[in-house]
Amino acid sequence: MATRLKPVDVVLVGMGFTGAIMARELAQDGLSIVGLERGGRRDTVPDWQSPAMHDELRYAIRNEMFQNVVTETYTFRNHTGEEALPIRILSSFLPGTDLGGAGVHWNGHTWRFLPSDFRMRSHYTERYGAQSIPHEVTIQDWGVTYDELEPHFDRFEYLCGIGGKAGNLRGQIQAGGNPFEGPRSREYPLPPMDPAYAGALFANATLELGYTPFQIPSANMTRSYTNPEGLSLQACNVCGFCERFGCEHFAKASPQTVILPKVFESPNFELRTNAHVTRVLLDGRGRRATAVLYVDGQGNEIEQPAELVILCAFSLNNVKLMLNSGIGQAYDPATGEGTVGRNYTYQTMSAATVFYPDDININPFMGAGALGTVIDDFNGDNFDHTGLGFVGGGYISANTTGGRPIEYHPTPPGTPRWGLRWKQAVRRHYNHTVGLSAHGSSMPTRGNYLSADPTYRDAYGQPMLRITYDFPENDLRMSRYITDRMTEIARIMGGETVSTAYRATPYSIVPYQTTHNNGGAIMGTDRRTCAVNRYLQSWDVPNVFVQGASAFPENAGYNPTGTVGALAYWSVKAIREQYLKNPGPLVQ
Amino acid sequence: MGSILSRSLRSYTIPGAALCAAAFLTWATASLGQPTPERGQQIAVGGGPGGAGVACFSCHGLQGQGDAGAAFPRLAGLDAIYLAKQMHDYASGSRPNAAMSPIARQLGPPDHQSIALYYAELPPQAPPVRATPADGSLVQWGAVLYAQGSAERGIQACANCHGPGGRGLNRVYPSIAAQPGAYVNAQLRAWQAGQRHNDIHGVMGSVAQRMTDEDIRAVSAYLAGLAP
Amino acid sequence: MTELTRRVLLQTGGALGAAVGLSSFAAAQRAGGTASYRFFTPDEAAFIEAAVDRLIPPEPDWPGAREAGVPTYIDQQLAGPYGQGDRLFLGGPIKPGTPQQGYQLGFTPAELYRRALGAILAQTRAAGASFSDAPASQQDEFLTRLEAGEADLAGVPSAVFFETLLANTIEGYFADPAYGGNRDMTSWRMVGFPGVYAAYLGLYTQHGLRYEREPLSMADAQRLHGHGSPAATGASMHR
Repeated sequence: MATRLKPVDVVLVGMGFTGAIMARELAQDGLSIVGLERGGRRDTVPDWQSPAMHDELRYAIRNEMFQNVVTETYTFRNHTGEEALPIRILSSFLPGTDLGGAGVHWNGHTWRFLPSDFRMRSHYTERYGAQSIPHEVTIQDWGVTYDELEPHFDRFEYLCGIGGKAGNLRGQIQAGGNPFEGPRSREYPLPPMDPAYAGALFANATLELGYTPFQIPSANMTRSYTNPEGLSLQACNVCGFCERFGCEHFAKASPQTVILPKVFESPNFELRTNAHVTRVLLDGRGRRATAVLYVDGQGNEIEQPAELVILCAFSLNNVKLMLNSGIGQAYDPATGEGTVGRNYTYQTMSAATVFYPDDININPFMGAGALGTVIDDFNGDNFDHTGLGFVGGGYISANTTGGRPIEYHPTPPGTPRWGLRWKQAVRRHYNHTVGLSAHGSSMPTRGNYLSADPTYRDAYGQPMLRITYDFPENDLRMSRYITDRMTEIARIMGGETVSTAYRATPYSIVPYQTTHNNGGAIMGTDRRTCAVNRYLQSWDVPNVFVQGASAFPENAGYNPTGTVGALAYWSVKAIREQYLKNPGPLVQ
Repeated sequence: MGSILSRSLRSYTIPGAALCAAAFLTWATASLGQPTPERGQQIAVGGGPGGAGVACFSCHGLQGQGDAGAAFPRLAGLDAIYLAKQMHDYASGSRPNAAMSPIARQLGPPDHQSIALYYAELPPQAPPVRATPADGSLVQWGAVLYAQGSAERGIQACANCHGPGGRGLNRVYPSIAAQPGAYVNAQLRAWQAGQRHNDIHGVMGSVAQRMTDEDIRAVSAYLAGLAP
Repeated sequence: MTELTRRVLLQTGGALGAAVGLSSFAAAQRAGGTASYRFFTPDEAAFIEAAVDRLIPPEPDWPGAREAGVPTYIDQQLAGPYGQGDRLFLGGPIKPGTPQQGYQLGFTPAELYRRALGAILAQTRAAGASFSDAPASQQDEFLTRLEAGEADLAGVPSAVFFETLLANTIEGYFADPAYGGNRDMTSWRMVGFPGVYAAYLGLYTQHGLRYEREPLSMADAQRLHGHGSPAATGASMHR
């Protein structure tokens, strides 16, 4: 029998970036707020200091900062004709856990989706005609525009001290930035990162082809910075231990460094760690959330009643909770009915490698998570799609994130996978190789979706979330196209050898790709095809809001965090200014 | 292939790139003459253009070991590029010092570099004279700050950049072990007040501003007791 | 598998004939003497030591995996939480899956090694052969056939065992020496990776810089701390 606690105004499920933003904003209205984090507390000091933090085996291979599959994992299959089996070892994606969530161990690439990304169906129809959208692709407009989100992008970027150069400043195209981006109201808070050698070699090649290279907008501080919350960060030391690690220097924008200290100052906010939420409880009619059920660190079941429940638990976990709680109707690909679980998307990645003579020292270990040079010429609809047969695109970049040797020891094609020649090739090429990345969009289809697994349950007895996904033919066509563009660049970068590979199919959960899992609780204007409205409020249970990339109707060719942050500020503004004054559906 | 690389990277520049500090760190060998450690020794012993009165050894010791009593730092074994940059910065004023700035200005960049080359090759030695024995618990607190930082004040471990045992990591992040406590103390206060601002992007100023007086004394006492 | 063994390992004739009937003691003698294992039996250790040295062989200037301590690394991993599957979901039902669904066996890493090594040793012994005594070219051929999945090792497809062994070998070779491998940071020296203390602001912008610094490992932190360090005194971090 669960212990029922005294009611509070707000329960936040998950204390990563979106949970922290919700807490910070709502606490200012005097609401009583409980933040439930399934993991533990951690902070820059002492948890992320050298040398212990820079342990590649522990953090990047054994995945100590990530969700432990023993407690909770997902099942996976490529299509409905197969039986889904558990993901027994985390690999293709690495969901975070503990206070701060993935905001602790992310790389820091911070983008804004393009104006056209928020209205893909309308945009492609207007420009190319409805026939230009392949039938398999179920894109739909988001219900919110770039212009509406612009002030919220700006706010998130200033919160996080993003280093970059505006490419479009109030409609004026600026040198040094992304000429394709939507208009910004003001410059970035900090200047861009200076290019690394790999980025400069890439940039020169792209300039020869007439493209416009610029530095990736970075949440690794480029200067000392005090953000609008009054929290101070340091310039990034370019240590090469960014993704999968916490930052030792207070130089990466994480909830701990940019917002949580302010959250904790509020007397009406309470953090509960080791609090694993299993379900949101609904009233008899299933139209109102009454409480959140969780298991504490001692294994006790606790019921926390609340007026308002906000799911901030990462896209996959949000959808799992909705399915296991009955918030909205589960999507069925056979009938097309239901909204929870539909439009699951990922990211479509490919790579090229340039091998240089041994007097060209690349020094890959001098890296930072978002240190990279990029072209956006083949992202979104920044190029003419006429006759290409696909929608979407992606950016192409040369990143220098680090050279940690267990993961990074490139060898040219034809090198054996082990033995003396492998070892010699590793020695020869480690410090003389540049990797390029194509980071392509991910379109929804009828058959790619999330659902409750019928067989496998997590350690708390809840059905695991089942992922049914394979790359749509649209995305493979898109990816081949941008991989060809990437290869053209690689071939004029001055190396001795270039290796390149198209995206391997079918989608496999074995090699790491990204942790950009999106959709499943998408936003929109039509309650029949989306789970939340344009303010991220559940259509079915109005006192539940669902943050995060679960809201994306499709994934653009960018890292999602910037857009996740903007949507969080947009949503919480609506909660404060509209919902709290008049609780109920914000959109009829 | 050669043309791509030899075109160097000037065609790709980003607006506002603050490369000045980094640019210095490549040798700016002047046309006035090649720096050598022998020339550095001459100046260290004989004083160079300023004469014997400003010979380095008169303050920094015959082995470059420094003087704990007077808080003159150890130079022996410090990284050459780091040392040359400090001389340059004394001269330019980004590291203002009543004693060193005039001396540095009398010497030109080739002499800065010669001195640096000379001292870099000397075996590192601790200054022999200790002012007073340090308070044990203060040293211990300094060791904790050095290795772990302070959660309360948002200070990261000094070791992250200065390496284990204060030995430094590379030409940018210097060795700070076995420096006189009073010298470290004065430097941290100079960073804190913004008087010294010759590092990249103000990291040391940002760190020092978070330190209390006790933190500064503790770290100074700890570093003074380390092997060089 | 027996056929595999016969074809590959018996071609050395007399030398392997002498290997027949070797006692465990003799195997332990051959197993290097300096390493003491918590998980591996002497026979298993002899195989592992020989196998990893083919995966990452010795060269005059650069030690192979055996001298770098990789067998010790793997042994310690298997004897510890990793070996017990602390980050491996083993809940049932266990069913075979597609290659895209990844690892679907119900074995912890420790169980996987024990089964696979047991099968390899039993069959090589029965054929009167010894992997660790065979010449390198035959060892390579044997490993290649394991890699190609040509054998079932007591329920473990040989390709799964091989990939696990290869991954663990690479880990042990490149990980911090605190884990038992990468002795004296040999792999870091070989490629030029400076190790766990890392700060490069002001340096990474010097494109093409030849950066040579003695690498630093986690143990260096312990070794180089001066008096009064928390490691030495267990001081509290709060003041």
